[in-house]
Amino acid sequence: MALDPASKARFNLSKTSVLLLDPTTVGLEILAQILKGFGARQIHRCSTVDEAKAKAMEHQIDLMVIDTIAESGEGYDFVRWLRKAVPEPNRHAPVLLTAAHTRASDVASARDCGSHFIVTKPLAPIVVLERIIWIAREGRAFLLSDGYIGPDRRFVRPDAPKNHPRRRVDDAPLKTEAPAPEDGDARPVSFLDRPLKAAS
Amino acid sequence: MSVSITYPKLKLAAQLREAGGQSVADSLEAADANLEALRPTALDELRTAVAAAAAAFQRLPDGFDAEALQGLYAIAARAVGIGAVSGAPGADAALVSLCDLLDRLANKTRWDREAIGVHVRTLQLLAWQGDVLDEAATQHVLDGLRKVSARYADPPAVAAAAG
Repeated sequence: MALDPASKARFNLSKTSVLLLDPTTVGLEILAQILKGFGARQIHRCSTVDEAKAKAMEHQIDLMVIDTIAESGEGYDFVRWLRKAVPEPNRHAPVLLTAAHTRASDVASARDCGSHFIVTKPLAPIVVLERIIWIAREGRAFLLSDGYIGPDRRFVRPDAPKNHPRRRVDDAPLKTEAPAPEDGDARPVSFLDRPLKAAS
Repeated sequence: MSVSITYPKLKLAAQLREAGGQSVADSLEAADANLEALRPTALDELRTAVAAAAAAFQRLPDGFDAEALQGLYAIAARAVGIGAVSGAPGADAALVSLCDLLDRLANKTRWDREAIGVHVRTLQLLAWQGDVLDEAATQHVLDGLRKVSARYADPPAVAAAAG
């Protein structure tokens, strides 16, 4: 996913409608200045979830950059609401979550709320751009189930051995940076759980 | 459990490929320049947030107070990310360490006023006199903060912080 910062490859965000949610004026300004630097012109700035909900209902949004709002977790709630309650096309809009900090009790929300990616603050412009390009390039399928609505979180692992069999409940669990579920690690590799290595 | 799969077409994908636009290098340069212009504002905001954290610290009681921890957590979390733009990147790491500490104290119903205090004093140093510390000294201070915060972490995080 690494992007060469000296790359002359071109991209065009000039017609992209972007919704930004951040609870602080300076946080919103940092996001807006990064996106403006990338050429975005249609930027909806929201400092509250209510404002963001109103914008999401009024305008077609092509990209959302949503802060988790660490102290309340409202950013996760916004994404869940977006995936359940908003008509298409915004329901499927790419969502990049930004996180100042993730409480231990919010790790599951961060994983399961239905965003495409989570980026930790402080935000580096190159990381934000990498994620935007990746989201657009991958065009992930959307899953709708009782417990989850959002982009498919299963990732192909380039470091996996060739012809590796499909993972099953009796495969060796992956060691990840996030806590393993109590019922064994039978789930797909999540986009938030950075696989380190297979347990021996 | 029923699962259905859809394949929405992202307008973003087509937009990015449209003619015109700008190069990755130019975009990053423009974003950096825009952030550089924000530096004085960001430094003011960082100092305001650190002053608010110091005031909240002074108001902390002598025993566990979940509401007080939550209030200080909100101040710290909202300031993460400003340090990098204001020219005091160490402040972001100190704020994250403070958030870790406050979250862990709240989860374990523990109280350690001194551990919070050392974070707040470090933030004051980084926000007002950050230029007196070179990078090695800043990292040394931040490593110390992480060790303080890791005292209340679950065992794997303690081991990682001890390095």
